[in-house]
Amino acid sequence: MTDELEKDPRLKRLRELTAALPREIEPAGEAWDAIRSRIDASRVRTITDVERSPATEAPSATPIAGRAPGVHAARWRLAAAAVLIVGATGWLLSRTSGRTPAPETELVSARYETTARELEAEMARQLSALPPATQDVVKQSLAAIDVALGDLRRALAGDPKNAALEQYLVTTYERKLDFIRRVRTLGSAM
Amino acid sequence: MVNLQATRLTVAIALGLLLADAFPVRAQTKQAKPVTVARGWPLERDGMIRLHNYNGSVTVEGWDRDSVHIAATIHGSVPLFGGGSRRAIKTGLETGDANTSIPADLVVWLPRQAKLSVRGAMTVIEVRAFAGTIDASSLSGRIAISGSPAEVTAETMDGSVTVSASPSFLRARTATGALTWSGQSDDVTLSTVGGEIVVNRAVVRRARIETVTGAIGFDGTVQSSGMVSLESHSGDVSVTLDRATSAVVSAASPAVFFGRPGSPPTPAGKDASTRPVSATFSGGTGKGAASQELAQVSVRSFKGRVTVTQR
Repeated sequence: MTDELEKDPRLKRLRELTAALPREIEPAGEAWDAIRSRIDASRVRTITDVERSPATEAPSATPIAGRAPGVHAARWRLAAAAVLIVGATGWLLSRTSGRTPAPETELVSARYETTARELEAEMARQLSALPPATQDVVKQSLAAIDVALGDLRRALAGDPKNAALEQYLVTTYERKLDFIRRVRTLGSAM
Repeated sequence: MVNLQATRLTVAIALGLLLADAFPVRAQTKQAKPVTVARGWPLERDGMIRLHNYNGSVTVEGWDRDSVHIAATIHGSVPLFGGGSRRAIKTGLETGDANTSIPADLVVWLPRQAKLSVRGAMTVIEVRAFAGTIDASSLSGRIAISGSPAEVTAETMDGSVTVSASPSFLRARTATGALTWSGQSDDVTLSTVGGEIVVNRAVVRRARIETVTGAIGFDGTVQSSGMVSLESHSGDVSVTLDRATSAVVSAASPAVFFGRPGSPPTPAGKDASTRPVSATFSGGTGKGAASQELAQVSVRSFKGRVTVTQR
């Protein structure tokens, strides 16, 4: 019974679809607010802040290391981008048989590219805070990912009904977005 | 006349003080003689500590005391800040950014079960004899972790990451740096863009190992019912399963080689890179495991070679 189930192509397909789902989804804005308030409440303070005189410093729930302006807006953009990508990916993967996939693939590619460009533009500010050698590594790495994406798009152009190729493409786009997010995080911590 | 000279002297001294204040890093850089600083704080055994050092090294060692001790060798006159509570401490070098930070070497002893966070840039990070949770990041420095940490998250850009430990949860990422792990874990994610990934003598239940252009070498045991995925876009992927592993291995690549008799040949055609071929490896007693206990191993390389063998 279990062997038969394992051989069932629908189960196989389900596994493939599950593997291709996005690995991270930004929480909703309200959830972020709740999380942020809990983090701020338990935030570690430096000795300078701990020793600050209460007489000269009004008590406040404001975090010691304040967030840079625009961080909240950037999170909203990230959340919106994640929702967009999840929707687009689900739509693409729901149409894996009996279809002409090239337009959908192009659409998803275009949406990922748009998101990546927006994130890269924001990343550029954080990138300048990193040492020059690290900036080079980031550029080389993004170039390597773009080469991989080019390989996959060309392969899909020649074999447009290949669902496995679509999965490769989606996974590689996710890697690119994940990498950009990492750089943003590292840069903002510097 | 005397008043004029006194005024000139005062102005000169004031200018000197202003210039010294305006270029502190330059002044500190010239002061090559290292300064040694030692500090300590109480910290509960499962407390949290966050260390900052953007240049130099951070060496962490666990001990069986409820306190933190830091010995810092600072190659300049940058203060070592620190403080907090018995539950959480933050300490490190007061430096502006990664590009101008003064080098310093920190040696830190902390409660073995603590929660450790280390932030570095051009910083070598080493953690040993530690059993708590570790979250370490650097940019170009290498990270080396040993001991018995409960959980590990390690991240660099072009530095290498080496983990010789068996945390229940392991996340390690680099961009171009090499990534090496040996140990046992239920939940592993190793990821690079161009760095090589080497897994040696590992025992895993769930693992995702992925790179874009780097090569992957996996040598170890996949536990029963485990799920392991190894993927590279253009690097070669080599998998050597321990004889204790019973698994269904699905491989996709332009060149798949199963190192066992009767294995399926590499498929031909335009979808050869993506069409998986499967083989079952029966380890253990040789009688074969029940199908529900078979581990699932997926190996893919879009442009590289895939080799799967069993000892």
